[in-house]
Amino acid sequence: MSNNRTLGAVALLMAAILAIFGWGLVAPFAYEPVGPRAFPMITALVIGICGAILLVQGGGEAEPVNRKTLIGLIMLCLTLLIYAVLFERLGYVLSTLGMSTVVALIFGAKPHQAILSAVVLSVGSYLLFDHGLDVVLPTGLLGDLL
Amino acid sequence: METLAFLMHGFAVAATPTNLGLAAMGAVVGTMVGVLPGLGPVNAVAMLVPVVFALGLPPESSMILMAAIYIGSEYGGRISAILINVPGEASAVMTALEGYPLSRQGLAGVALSLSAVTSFIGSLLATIGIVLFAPILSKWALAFGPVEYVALMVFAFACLTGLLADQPVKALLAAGIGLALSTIGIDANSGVMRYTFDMPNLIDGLAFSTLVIGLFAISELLILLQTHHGEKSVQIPKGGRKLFNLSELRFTFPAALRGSAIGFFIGLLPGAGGTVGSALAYSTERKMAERSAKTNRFGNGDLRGLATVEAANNSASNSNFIPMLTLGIPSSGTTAIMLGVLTLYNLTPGPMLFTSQPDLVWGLIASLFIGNIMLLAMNIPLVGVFARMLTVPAWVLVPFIVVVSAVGVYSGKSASFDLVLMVAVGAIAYWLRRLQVPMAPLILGFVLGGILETNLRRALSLSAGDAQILWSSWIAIVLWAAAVAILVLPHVLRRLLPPEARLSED
Repeated sequence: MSNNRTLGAVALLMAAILAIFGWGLVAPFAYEPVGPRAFPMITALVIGICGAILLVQGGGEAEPVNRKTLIGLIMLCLTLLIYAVLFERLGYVLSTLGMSTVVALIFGAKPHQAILSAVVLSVGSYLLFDHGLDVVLPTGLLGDLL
Repeated sequence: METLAFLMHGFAVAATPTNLGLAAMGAVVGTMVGVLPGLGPVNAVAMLVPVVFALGLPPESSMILMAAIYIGSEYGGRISAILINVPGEASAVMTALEGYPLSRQGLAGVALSLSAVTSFIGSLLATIGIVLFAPILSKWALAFGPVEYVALMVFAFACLTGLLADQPVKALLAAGIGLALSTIGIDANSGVMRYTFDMPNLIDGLAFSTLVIGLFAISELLILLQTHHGEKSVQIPKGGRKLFNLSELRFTFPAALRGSAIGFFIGLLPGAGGTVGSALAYSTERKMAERSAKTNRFGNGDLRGLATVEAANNSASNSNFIPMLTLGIPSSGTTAIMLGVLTLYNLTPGPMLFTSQPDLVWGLIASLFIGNIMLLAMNIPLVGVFARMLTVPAWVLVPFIVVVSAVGVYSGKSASFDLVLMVAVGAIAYWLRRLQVPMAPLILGFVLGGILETNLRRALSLSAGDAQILWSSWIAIVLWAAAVAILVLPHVLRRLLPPEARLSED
């Protein structure tokens, strides 16, 4: 799955999307000889040519990852995505507590290590950023407590 | 004399308590991330982009902080290369070649202290080079119009794809993706929305901090997971001399000077930073040593090899600032991010900076002197403390990086949208990096995309659409020719470089 051919195909797809959605980019009143469309078209061309070369060339198989690592990678991506979505809804402290626990476990922490470090990190960083550095962070469910 | 006055003014800027504090902080943070394998200046600087805004730092202070991190990580990268044979960052690959054998022979203390001093020599000479050459170059570059700028940027991209990359097609693809991403959002000239897909969050374009953090922090975590093999126990060799002696310094001093010179000139080229510089210095020194077989210990821990590599490495990272400050062309991922930060302050990178922002330019240059002295003072006695960073387990480090990244991205726009985007960019970047698509051209494309397009359109407006204007001046012609030469040159260069140096990304 992960080789130059796939990369080339994806690049061609990207070039096509750029070209299709960019074709209609025409200024209602043109003050200059080159409008907003030309530059995106040039980049689409560059990407497309690179994609075509990679597609023809092939090869470049990426080193396969073992099953355990693959599961870890998917878990890590999902955790980060869920963290991003729940960041505002749950609030900073709760969402960080959950994220940090799971991520520490993925990176091989023992459960008590994961939970302890997550508590220290979420509360500590909240105090540092929100109170110390005046970065406003969402309070979420703990709204009244904080 | 005029330069000297400006430099003195720069020292006045850099010596304010805030800026001194930031330089010291940057030096410590830089050395720490430099020590950690996988994390380098790019990652640290990327995570700091939103933080400097949250702190409300003026532009010169953020530049001083970021520069200190950049230089500091060059000092840090050598520590793990010497002690555990794992380069702390890309440009320390060559350091391990001679440094690790030395440490196996019980000379770790000597190797660490000597390389700290030669790093300092390289940095110092390169910084003097900046003072001498940057003002001249910037005066010359003031004559650049839109036509010359277009050619200059094409030259920069040619350097990146030709010199740096093992696989030029992938580097060019990365640059193309960066250029394409830079077109997202409202077009300032015509008011047309480009690739926003009716999402209000995209009208202003992709947020720079979201993109760099996704590219350099989140994707790095995924790479860390892939290379993570449980905790290594790091033992710092005990005993042995802590400090080099005078005859060792005298023995290696010429090598350090040669390394500094090579690093300096390589660092001037867009796209070629410490990695290429140190590789070239190493192979030069090795060839010279082979002529006198008596003292040649290359491969088994030759102090000259270590000295030249570290000098070249640091010299190149410092001279990187010349094209960045005078032409607005960054030559590494880190300087590209620093340049992007300047645009966030509404400053236009380019030769005008020297006249319009003397505080910033000269404060930064002066802070390089100060930062290097701090780093030398810190690195010899505290090397054991920094080496301790290697024992911090990944499960502590990774959640910390996620938190700093997320808070940084969120503080910019206060929108969950950018957090989701950050994760998506990180996952895609991980996939691209696995396929050996380099990230430096991508971020360079994104930073330069807007400037390139503006200048291209301006040039063609001047000629009413006639493309011939693009090679109408002799400066432009020279740059176009140089761009072509650069694309041919690597085939020659590649024969000169040892194979270890071919893969580089910084």
